[in-house]
Amino acid sequence: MDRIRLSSLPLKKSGIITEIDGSLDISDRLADMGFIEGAGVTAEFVSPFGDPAAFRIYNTVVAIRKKDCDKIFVKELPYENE
Amino acid sequence: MRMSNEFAFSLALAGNPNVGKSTVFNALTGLNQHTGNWTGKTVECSKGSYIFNSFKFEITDLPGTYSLLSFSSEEQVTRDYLIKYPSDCVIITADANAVERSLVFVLQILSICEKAVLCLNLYDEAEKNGVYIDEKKLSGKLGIPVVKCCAVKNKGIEKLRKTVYGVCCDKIKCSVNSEYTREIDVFNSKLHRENIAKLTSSAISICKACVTKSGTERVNLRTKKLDKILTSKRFGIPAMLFLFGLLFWLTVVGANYPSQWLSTLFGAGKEWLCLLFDNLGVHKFIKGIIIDGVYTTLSWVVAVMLPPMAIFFPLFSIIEDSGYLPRIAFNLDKYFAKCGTHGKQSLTMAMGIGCNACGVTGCRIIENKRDRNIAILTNSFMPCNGRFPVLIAVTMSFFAAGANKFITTVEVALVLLAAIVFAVVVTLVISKLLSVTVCKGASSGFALELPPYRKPQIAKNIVRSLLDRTLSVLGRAVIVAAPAGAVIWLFANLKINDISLLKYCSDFFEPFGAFIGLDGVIIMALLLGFPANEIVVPVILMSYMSRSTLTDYTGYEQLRQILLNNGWTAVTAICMLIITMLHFPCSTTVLTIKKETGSLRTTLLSMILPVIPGVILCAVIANIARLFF
Repeated sequence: MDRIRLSSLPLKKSGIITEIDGSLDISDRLADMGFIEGAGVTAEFVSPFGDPAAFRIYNTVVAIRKKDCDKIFVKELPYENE
Repeated sequence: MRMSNEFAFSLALAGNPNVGKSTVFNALTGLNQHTGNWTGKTVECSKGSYIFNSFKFEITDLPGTYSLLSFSSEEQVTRDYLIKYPSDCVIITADANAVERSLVFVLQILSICEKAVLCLNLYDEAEKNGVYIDEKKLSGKLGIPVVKCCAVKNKGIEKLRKTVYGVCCDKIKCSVNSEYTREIDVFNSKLHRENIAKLTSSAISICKACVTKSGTERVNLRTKKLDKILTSKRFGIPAMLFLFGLLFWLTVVGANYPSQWLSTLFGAGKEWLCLLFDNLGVHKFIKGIIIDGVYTTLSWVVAVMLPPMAIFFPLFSIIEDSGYLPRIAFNLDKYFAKCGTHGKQSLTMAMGIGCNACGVTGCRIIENKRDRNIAILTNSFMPCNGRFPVLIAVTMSFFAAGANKFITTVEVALVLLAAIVFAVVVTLVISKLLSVTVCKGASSGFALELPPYRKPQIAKNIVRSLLDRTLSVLGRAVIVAAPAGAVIWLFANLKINDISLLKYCSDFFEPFGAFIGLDGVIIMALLLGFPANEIVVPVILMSYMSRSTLTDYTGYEQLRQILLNNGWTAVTAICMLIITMLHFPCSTTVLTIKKETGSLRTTLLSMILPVIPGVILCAVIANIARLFF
C-alpha cells in the first residue's frame, strides 16, 4: 500500500511509520515517545473538536495535533484494530 | 565500607512520566508526596529517606522525563542531576505495560550510571493485560537487578529495598551490558533520532527475548471504552461541564453545614472570650482589637474557607489520580492552539482553581518559555479557592433567594460553573492578545500522553490533600488574617476629627468605586486583600458594620440585609463577582511568579493584566445599568 500522512490514517487502522519530515519541530520529542521510522502506530480517537488526535504507539496513547501529523508518513496496514 | 547509621546511601529515583514513580517514592519513604495520573505532575525534586538493615537511604525523586537526550529544560534536570550528584544506586521506575518504551529510557540511564535497579511498576495491570515479563532473563540482558512491583498495593517494595541495599553494598554486582549503550552519546543533540532509533531496536530485541504477551488487554479495554465517551463529539464537552458542575455542587452542599457549625462554635467562643476579658478587666481597646479584630476575622476565614477547601481539594485530587485531566487538555487543545498557546495550559488552569500559586508552579510542565509565560500570566484569571467563598457568599445572599434549599445549592453550583467558563473564555482571549503582542514567538509543539484510567486511591487522596494542600493554604490565610483583622479594627476605631481612618480611606476610593458599580469600601477591601483573597469579605463586613449597630452576622439572609443597608444592588453584586475574578493576584502568587520567571517585568505585568478587563467590564456594566434603570 502507498504511504499516507498520519493525519489521514483512518480510526482503528494501523500503520508503520516510514518517514518523518525534517521540518517537524517536535520530531525529537515525538521520537522520545516512540515515533520513529519502523514503529507501529494505531489511530485511536479524535478530540470532540476534531483536533488533536490520539495514537497508540508501543502501548502508549499520545495526542498530536493535525498539523504535526501531516508531517509523519505511514504505510497503512490492511487489518482493523479494535 | 559504610557501617554506621550516620552515613546515608544516596539514591536517585528516575523514570518516564506516568509510571507511578511518586507512588514508589511514597511507598519507600512513607511520605505523602503528591501523585497524580498525568504527565509532568512532579515538577520539583522531592527528597525523602528510609532505614533498612540499620542503614539510612536518602532518595531524591526526580521529575519524570521521556528521555535524557532532549535539551528542553525539563529533561535537563534529570540528566544533570544524575551526572552532577552520582548516586549509590539509581532506581529506574518503569511501566511494565510499556516495556519497549521503558527500556529505551533504561538504556539511556545505563549509559551514564553504573549502579541501578529496574523497578517494573504497575505489574498488576500488566498481568491483567496479559503481559508476562521474565525478570531474571531481563536482568541478565541488562546487567542490573530487576524487581516487579505494584507500588499502589505495596507489593514488591520490601524486595526493592533489599535489592537496592544489595547494590549499594556491592553484594549484588551490576555489570551494564555495554553492547546496548556503546554508541549512544547522551550529550549530542544532533544525533537524537539516530540514538533513539538504535536504542529502540535494542529495546525491541530485549523485549522479544524476555516479554510474552497473551493479548487479553483487559485494562486497556476499560480505558478505550471510557475515552470513547469522554472524548466523543456528543458527550465529551458535556461530560466535562457536568463533572466540574458536580464538583462545585458537592463543595457547596458539603460545606454548608460544617460552615454553620463552625460559625456557631466560634460565636460561642467569642462570647466566652468577652466574658473572660471582662472578668479580667481588660482594657476596652485591647478587648476590641483582639476580639472584634483578630478573632472575628480569623473565625470568618476558618468557618467560611475551611469546609469548601476540605471538600474541593480531595475531590480534585481524586480526579487527578484517575487520569482524566489530560483528557481535558485533549478536548480543549484546539482552542488553545487557535489562541497561540499550549493545550497543557488547561491543566495549569485546573490547578489554579485550587490555588493560583500552585497553578503557577505547575506551569513548569509547559516546556516552551513563551507558552509558559502566557500560562503564568493568565493563571490568576481562574478563581482560586480563596475567592470561592466570595463568589458563593455573594451568590447565596443575592441571587439564590429561593426557599427550596436543594435548588439553591444547584443554582450556586451553576453560578460557580458559569464563573469558571467565563474565566476560561477570558483566559483564551487574553492569551491570544498576549501571543500577538507581548509574548510573540512560535508556539511549542503539542504531544501529550494520555495514560490509562486508573482507580484513584480514595482514602489516601483524602488524607494527603487534607494535610498537604488544605492545611497549608488555610495556614497561610490564617497567618495573614490575624494581623489584618487587627489592622482593620484599628482603622475602624482610630478617629481623627471624629471620623475613622477607615472612613477616610473608603471615602477616598468612593468616586472610583461608584463609577465601576462598586463602592469605596469594596475597593479598599480588595486592596487590603492583596496578601490573601480570603480576607476581602471580612474587611467589607467589618467596614459596613462599624457604621451600623449590628455586631455580628449569621446566615446569608443577614448578610443580604447588611449589604442592602449599605447600598448594594443586583448590579453591585454582579460587578463584585466580576472584580473578584478579575483583579490582581494575591501576594503569594506574585512572589511565586517572580520566582518562576525571574523577571520583574513579567511579574508586574501579571499584576496589572487582570485588573484592566475587570475594571473595564465593571465600568461598562455599571454605566449601562445606570442608563436603563
